[in-house]
Amino acid sequence: MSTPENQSEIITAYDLLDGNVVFLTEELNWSSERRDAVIAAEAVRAEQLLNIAHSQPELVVDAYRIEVRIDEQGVPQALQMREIARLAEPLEAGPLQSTLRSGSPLQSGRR
Amino acid sequence: MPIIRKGIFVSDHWHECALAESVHHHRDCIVPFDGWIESRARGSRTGEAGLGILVGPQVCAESLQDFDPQVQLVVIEFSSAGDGRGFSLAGYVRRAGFTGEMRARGPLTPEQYPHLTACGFDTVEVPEELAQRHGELSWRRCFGAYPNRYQSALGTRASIVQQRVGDMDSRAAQRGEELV
Amino acid sequence: MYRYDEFDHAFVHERVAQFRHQLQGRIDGTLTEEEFRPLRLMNGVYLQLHAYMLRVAIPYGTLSSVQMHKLAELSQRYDRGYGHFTTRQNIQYNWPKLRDIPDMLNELAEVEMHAIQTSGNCIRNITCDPFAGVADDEVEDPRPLAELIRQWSTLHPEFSYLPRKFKIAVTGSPQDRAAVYFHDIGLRIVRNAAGDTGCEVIVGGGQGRTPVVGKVLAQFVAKSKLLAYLESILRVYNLHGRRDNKYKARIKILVNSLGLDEFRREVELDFASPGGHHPDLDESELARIEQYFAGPAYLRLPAHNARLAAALATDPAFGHWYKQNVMTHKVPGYAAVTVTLKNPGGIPGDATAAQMVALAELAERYSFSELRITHAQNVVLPDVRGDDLHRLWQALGEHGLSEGNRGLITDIIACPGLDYCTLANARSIPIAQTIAKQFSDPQRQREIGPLTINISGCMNACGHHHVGHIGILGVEKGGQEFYQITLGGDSSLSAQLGERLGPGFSANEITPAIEKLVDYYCEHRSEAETFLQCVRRVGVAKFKDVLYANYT
Repeated sequence: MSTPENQSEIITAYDLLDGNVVFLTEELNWSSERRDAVIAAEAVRAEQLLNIAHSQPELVVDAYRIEVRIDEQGVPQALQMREIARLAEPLEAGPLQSTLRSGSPLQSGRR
Repeated sequence: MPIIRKGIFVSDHWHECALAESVHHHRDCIVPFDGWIESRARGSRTGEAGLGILVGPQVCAESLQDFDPQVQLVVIEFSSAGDGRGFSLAGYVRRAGFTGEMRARGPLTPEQYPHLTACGFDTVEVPEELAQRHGELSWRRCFGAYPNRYQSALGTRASIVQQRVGDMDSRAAQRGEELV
Repeated sequence: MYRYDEFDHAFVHERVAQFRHQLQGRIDGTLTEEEFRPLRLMNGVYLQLHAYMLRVAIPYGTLSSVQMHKLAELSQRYDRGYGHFTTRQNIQYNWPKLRDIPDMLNELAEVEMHAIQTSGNCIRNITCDPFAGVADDEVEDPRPLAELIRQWSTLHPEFSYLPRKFKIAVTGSPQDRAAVYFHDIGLRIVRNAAGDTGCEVIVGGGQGRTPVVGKVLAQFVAKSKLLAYLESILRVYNLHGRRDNKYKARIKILVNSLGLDEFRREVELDFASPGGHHPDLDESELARIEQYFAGPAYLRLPAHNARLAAALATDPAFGHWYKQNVMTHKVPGYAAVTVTLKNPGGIPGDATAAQMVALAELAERYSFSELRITHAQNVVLPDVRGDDLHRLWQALGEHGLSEGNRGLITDIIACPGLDYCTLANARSIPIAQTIAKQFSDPQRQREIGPLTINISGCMNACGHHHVGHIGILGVEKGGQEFYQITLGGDSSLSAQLGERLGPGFSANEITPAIEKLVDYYCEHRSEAETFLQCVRRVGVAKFKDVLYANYT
């Protein structure tokens, strides 16, 4: 289970024209590499970043926040089962086990 | 709010009125449906000016059976672009014999224009912001979209089926066959 | 099968042109995503878990070799070299780019295909018995009516913004292979006392969160009145279906809340009202469509086929496949062949481009260039000569398509699940794979006999688990996937929903759980009794006890 110290969020969406999963970067553009994602250590910052994402409808669709923990390599790893599946190739995700705290407001994902 | 007729923005001469007002005014007035029903029951008449009725999407469809010649305009409201009730309500109004102007009002998109005209609407009224963003060109394009459709419409176009049958009839006539 | 005339061609091309405009509008900001979404959905474009998904319509499950070739080509040029056939007889591509979709739709239009209304709050693909036109128990081929209804429902101006999706199925056989009791409207072709055919109309069936068996609204509607009657049903639904709650918006909820009699009263009131808009079915139009389904140039063949008999006598593997996958045909000397896309360990319903090409070519050679897609995510070659069956089977074998498991325990129906779908709570494909591998021994499968397992990854039930003999529903609990079992579902005319047995099993436990149920059946069945018959005789409660005997 993650502790509040390394509980962070990143912003994800789908490239509008190609449909692939993308992440908001430090430079406020979009990368398909998770390691490029800008990390928000606090909810306020995450919401700010989400608003920026929402202001780019010509680039991306369905932007939302996901809770992550940062691993030893500095790569964000999803905590929620659905996001773990989403960030893996279909049928290549191993046993899925969410490490999200139950009752998290983000547990239902986007929409 | 901007009005679209035949794919272009036109101006509007109608005003929204509470019913009592319309009895004395000489301006073309749109009054709420329930109020109009009531006033008819009381036997009140409006003035010389044109009378329009505003119908909400939740109206009881069967109550739309009856229009007297005074009514020149029926406005059917769409609460959202996805609220498709107005398309059915329009049919009740037309089947009741109403030949005046029928207007769809709501946050509708140009892409819905072919459905609206096929259901018997003459004009569409949309919020200013939407009209600006979508632009008259979109409305014009959509006015000409789907020149042939499968359903017999309340508009004037013959459906694909009717045209096929028409084709068959005329081909049969050429062959000198009798049409049953 | 139906061939487009100039009107149909013009229509699908116009549709593609309009979608290009709509996409351009989305790109340049004229349309917001909220405005664009329903438009792209009405062209079959979903946004899934990993990427966009394009659902292409295969009307009533019938397609030609030319069309199957095109589907293969599209998968290679625009996708990852495969396609997925669905439980509603459509095909899905999992990786198209939105920028490419107008071009894909254009290519589809060239071969008389489209993705119109395969999603959205509108009337969806009309589905049919996959053996329509060839089954020997048919009252009448349902496909002419299905085609008529398809055209009537295409861009219907009044019914394009319904409270929710709307699904119609048509069957022409007393043995319902179209699950008409589980659709918003189900039509069953029947004969009246005068010997004329018409439709029994069933309404308000469905699966999903609130599964319901449909109810008979009208016992006989003459064909000449059918479209008018359907319009009246749709009109009542369009006006009165709930729009405040997505989960209570289907017609089954409306029928339930009004009560069937009141609902019927409303429909008949509309049906009887004068006004001349009812598009009475044009007999010449139906006759024109019926001509396309007159059937191919069958040869006059003897019922007994010496070559086939010889092959059956000498090739036991062929014999097993024949017994499972080959269905008798109404024309002597012919057969309807099911090709299952269910190799144990493969992905249920998926076909690679190479397999699609092989199927297209084999259909050309052996089945008058026609194929069908079934609700079980399989493919049918409907018109194969008995003479050709052995050769066909061998050719299928070269492409990994000769599994003789139709209707057996490894012929599993599974939705894409959490591996692909945003709505899913759990994965379904790995479960299907594990179960199929567990039971992969062909002899064991034959001993078990007919047993259909349906797997859904969430309550939307796209895997149709409610009507599986064994149904499996994936759920998420505490961040982990669990699988609940239902038992005794039946999608035929003896329509029944499966009963939930109890608490769910983890991914590791679900296959042993299935084993327990199957073992119990094998040990306790009476002579020649199928699994479903055994469940009916013994009762679900007994199976439940067996399943949870040592559950902790």
